[in-house]
Amino acid sequence: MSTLEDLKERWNADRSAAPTQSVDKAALEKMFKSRIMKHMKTSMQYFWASFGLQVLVYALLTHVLVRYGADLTTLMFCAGGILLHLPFTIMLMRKFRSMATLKLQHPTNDEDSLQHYVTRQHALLSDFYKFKKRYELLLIPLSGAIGVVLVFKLYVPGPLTQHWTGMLITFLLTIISCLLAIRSENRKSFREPLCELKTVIDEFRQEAP
Amino acid sequence: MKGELDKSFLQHINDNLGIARKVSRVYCPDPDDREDLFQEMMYQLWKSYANFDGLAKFSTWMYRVCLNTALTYRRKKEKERNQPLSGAHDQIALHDEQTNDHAIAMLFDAIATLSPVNKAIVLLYLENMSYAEIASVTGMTTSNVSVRLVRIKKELERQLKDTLKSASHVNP
Repeated sequence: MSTLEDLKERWNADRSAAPTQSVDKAALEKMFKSRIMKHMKTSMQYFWASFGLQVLVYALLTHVLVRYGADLTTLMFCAGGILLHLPFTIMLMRKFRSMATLKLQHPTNDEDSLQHYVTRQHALLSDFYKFKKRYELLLIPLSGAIGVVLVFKLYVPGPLTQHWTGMLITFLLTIISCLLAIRSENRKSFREPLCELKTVIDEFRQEAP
Repeated sequence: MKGELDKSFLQHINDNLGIARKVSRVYCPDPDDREDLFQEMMYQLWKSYANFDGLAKFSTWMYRVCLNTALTYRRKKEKERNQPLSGAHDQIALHDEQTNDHAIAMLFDAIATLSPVNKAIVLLYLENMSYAEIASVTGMTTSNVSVRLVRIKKELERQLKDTLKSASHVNP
């Protein structure tokens, strides 16, 4: 008998691989409570970060609108900014909700294969990441531009046309700082997990020659 | 928490707890990660229990859930694991694993070097599942499972022989 065949028999006979103590109801309930808290914390961290940013944008734009709304250009920029953010806020919350609830509602089914499960997890995360990237690509430059124009219009003396260079530099700095913050978040929460899942999927799909 | 813990769930889990321990040991070399993965497996089993219709064996279903969890589990980063020294660190470390069988410990170490999917295949093989059952659980074709298993067995045999050889050099 080969070494592995011999070990296979011992593997099945090896009761020590199981813990000496069984788990009781109280221990399991405690474990589940801590997992629920952990999952909630992870989800809420992202939710509050993105929701907080939206609230901040609305608060600032509303403040400027109320205070300087008499000027038509300012009014248009503020209203435009709010209207631009509104559909994205709704879509972001919907997408986030569907991702969070899908994770909760569809744990492993009886007939699910490992390959199917991993592929579904990848698709779910990938779908949300694609939406997030589009959202960031469109909304961040636009809201950055609105913010810069409003700041220069309200607080820098002289017409806007005199400050193109200053506005451009401020806009670029805003975009760069946003990109740096987003890049790190995307790497940790999306790119790395997606890459790990993709490696597993590729391995599943790899047919033995 | 949603509802009371089902008595049958507790019974099933306790009868098959070794499955979760084996899977977590093979997928997580770090003890902290291993415990975290074990707890995550218990949580996923509890959430998925309503989907267990009893048509398949509980152990097969439990393997499915545990392997799904292990394959999609994200380990803590090195810096997250760093922690300040406390009184607990003065204690003598307990032996790393639950098994006293040196040969089985060697097998665990050898399996830990395989790729994530091959780990799953060999775990199912060691539980005496047929190629068709392994194919059904993993979602691969039976022929693919069979070819992969030949390779995995060869690789494990080679590793085990090497370990035994080096052990005999140390303790002649």
